Amino acid sequence: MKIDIKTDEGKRIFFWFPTRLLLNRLTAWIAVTFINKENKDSGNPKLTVRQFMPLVKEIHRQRRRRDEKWVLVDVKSASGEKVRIIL
Amino acid sequence: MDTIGKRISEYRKKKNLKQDELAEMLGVSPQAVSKWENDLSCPDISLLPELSRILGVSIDELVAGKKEESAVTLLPEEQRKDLEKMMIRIVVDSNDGDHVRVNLPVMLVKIAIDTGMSLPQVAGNEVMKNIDFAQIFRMIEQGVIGNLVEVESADGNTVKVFVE
Repeated sequence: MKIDIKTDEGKRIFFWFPTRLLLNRLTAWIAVTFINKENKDSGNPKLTVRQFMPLVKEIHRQRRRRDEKWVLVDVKSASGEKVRIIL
Repeated sequence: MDTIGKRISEYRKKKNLKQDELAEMLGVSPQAVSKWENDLSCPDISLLPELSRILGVSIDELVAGKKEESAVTLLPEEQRKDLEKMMIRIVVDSNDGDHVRVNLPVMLVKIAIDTGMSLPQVAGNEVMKNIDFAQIFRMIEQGVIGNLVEVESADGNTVKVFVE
C-alpha cells in the first residue's frame, strides 16, 4: 500500500507499507471496533471480525489480480491538499 | 446550432437569461456576449467551465455540440464484462470544494453487502445513506453499467456512483 500526500504548500510525503502488514486480523479488529463505535446509534447490526475478514481477503485477492495500480482513494481538498492511497 | 455562438445563444435563452445578465455573471461586457453569439469572437477558454455551469451543459456540448452519451447502458449478455474485472467508482464532491474518489472492485462490494455492511458505516456521508448498494449490485448483475446513481443534497454535496 502506498500513501501519497501532497500538501497545499507543495510538500510531498510518501509512505509505503506492505499491504499484508496493514490488512490483517489485528487491523480488521481495529476497523470493526471503529465501525461499530461510529454506528452505535445507527441501528445497524454490529459487525464481527469473522464477518469482516472475507473483505480483507478479497482486498488481497483483488490486489494480486490487478496488474495496473489500484487507486483505492483519491482525495483533493478545497485547500489544495491531495491524498492518494494506492494498493 | 452548428456554431458555438448559436449554442450559447440557444442555451442562454433556455435558461431565461438576458445577454447582460450572462455577461454580469461571467464578469465580461454585454458586447462580448453579443459578439460570441454572432460568431464574431469566441469566449476565452478560462471562461468555459463557468459558462457551461451557468448554461447547464457540458463543455463538450457547448464547444463541439456533442451531447453526452446516455449515462446508463444496458449491455447485452455477450458484451458484459466479468464481474471480477468491474469497478464501482464513487465520486463525492462536497459543497466546500473537497473531492473524494473511491474505486472499489465490484466483488469487494458484493462481499461487503454479504457481510451486512452498508456504505454509510464506513463513509459516514449523509448523502450516501439512501443509496442501496444491494440494488446497485443487482443492476450490475443484469448488465447495467454507467452512471447509476447521482444524488445532490440540499446543502450542495453530490455523490455519483459509476460502474465500469
